[in-house]
Amino acid sequence: MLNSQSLRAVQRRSILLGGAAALAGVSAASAASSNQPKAAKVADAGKPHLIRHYVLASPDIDRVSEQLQAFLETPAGHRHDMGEILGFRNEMMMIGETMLELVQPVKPDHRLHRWFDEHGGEGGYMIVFQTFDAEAFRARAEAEKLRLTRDMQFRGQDMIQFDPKRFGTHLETYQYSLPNGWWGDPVGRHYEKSTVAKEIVAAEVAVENPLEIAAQVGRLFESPVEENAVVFSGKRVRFVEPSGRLGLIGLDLLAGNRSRVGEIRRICNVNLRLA
Amino acid sequence: MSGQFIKNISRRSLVCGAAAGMAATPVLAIGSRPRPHRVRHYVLATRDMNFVCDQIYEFLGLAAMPKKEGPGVTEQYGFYSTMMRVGTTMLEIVQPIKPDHHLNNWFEERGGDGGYMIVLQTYDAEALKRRAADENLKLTRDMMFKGQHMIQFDYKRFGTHFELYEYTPEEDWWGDPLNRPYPDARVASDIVGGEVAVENPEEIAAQISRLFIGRAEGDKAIFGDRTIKFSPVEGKKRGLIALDLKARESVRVGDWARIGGVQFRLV
Repeated sequence: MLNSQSLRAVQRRSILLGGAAALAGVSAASAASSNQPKAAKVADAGKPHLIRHYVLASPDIDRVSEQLQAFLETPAGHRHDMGEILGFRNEMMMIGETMLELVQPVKPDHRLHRWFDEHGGEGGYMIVFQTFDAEAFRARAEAEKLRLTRDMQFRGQDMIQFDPKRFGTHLETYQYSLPNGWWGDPVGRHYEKSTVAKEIVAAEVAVENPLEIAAQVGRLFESPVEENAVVFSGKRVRFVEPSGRLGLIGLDLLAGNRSRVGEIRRICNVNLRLA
Repeated sequence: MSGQFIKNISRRSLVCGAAAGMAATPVLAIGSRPRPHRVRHYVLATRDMNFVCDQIYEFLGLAAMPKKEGPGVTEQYGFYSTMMRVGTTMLEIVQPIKPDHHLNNWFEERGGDGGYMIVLQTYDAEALKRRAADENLKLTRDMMFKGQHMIQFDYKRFGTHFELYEYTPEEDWWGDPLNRPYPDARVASDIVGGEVAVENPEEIAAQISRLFIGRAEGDKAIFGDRTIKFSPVEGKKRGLIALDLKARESVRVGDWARIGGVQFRLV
């Protein structure tokens, strides 16, 4: 996944919070750019979808960041203030090949404030995927009669987002047009790596009808389904019955030290489990 | 919709169409030459207004206007309405309340949500009516509405509803863009154009330009700093299919979002 090609000059960003991300250097890349040879696009179109990025939302990401730094034994990530135009600020961290973004609204009209009200405060906000054929993806969404809360081009990247009322959390996917790069710049920018957690290997989403949702997500992303879990190139999203909060409630981290397997730390209303 | 319409209703576009008049730069009369009409207002129709408005607010970085207590003004006419301002142009999102509202027929005909109307300001309604008669065009509205002369053309001819107002006073109307505290959009500074899919784009662009005293350039009708482009239907939905918005950041030029059946394009 993360290959060595460097990216630079990535301009961009998630609308944010939406925005999401795509990880970086995916070798074959990030999807069809307009000047990409047609044959390459066709080849990409069959590639399996990937999980690139998780987003946690909080009214105070400085505090959340400190908690993550303490748990993961890493320094702070890269911070950006996009308040003037996009109405939020963020911090980007990287665990293995997966990005973790913390977002905080700074404008009073930002939609995250309403989300905090509806969800009882901070929490897991979004899972971001990479698709290699956005138009085919849209066609599958239409066949499933799903409505999109984002259907847009954002700085050259094709972004699709589903209504979180259906899936419990925001599921967002990008077809990247920048070769091997995006605003998070995980290849060109240096991210300190945690030795406590080597990768984010799974996520848990609480939703009303987990088996039905897992099956539908599997169809949409053309990914294997194992009962309540959908598998994306070795990483999983498990859909579970809610016992409290709805949405993205847990992340499984591959422990760097096996002696710590089983440890759980609750940060930003998300259970981080060392697995 | 057809034929001549009504007189003296107490308010608002019968449908949704309300009109617009913004605090934009006045177009001054030059001697006795007719003044080019001004695009003031776009109307989008949807079955779920809040869903569409939320996406527009986010895409444009626009705060919602605080909602007043009690039912909105338009509810007595069978529809909900949300007004927003982008620069000097108004954007109205409407949703029918009752199943017999004629917007529901329009949804059926079109196949869902979409751009419903373009509202322009005329400075001489009687002269406009004479030009319409010369073109053998029928009006679907010709009425006084709160002291403002409203004229509407048959959307079957032009692809979308074109509605014209002669505002009195010239820079004010019910949307009250001058005095109401509409927030500014962070992402776009104005709506500078729209695109209408219709069967015969160049013919319609020419006729619209003659009617509304614009400048025709091929498939475009240009009204000052606003351009309405007409494009072939060709598998697309008919009618108002896109809005062009002036991006505040050059890096966003080329971005777009599909919202409520309309493509919002940053230019």
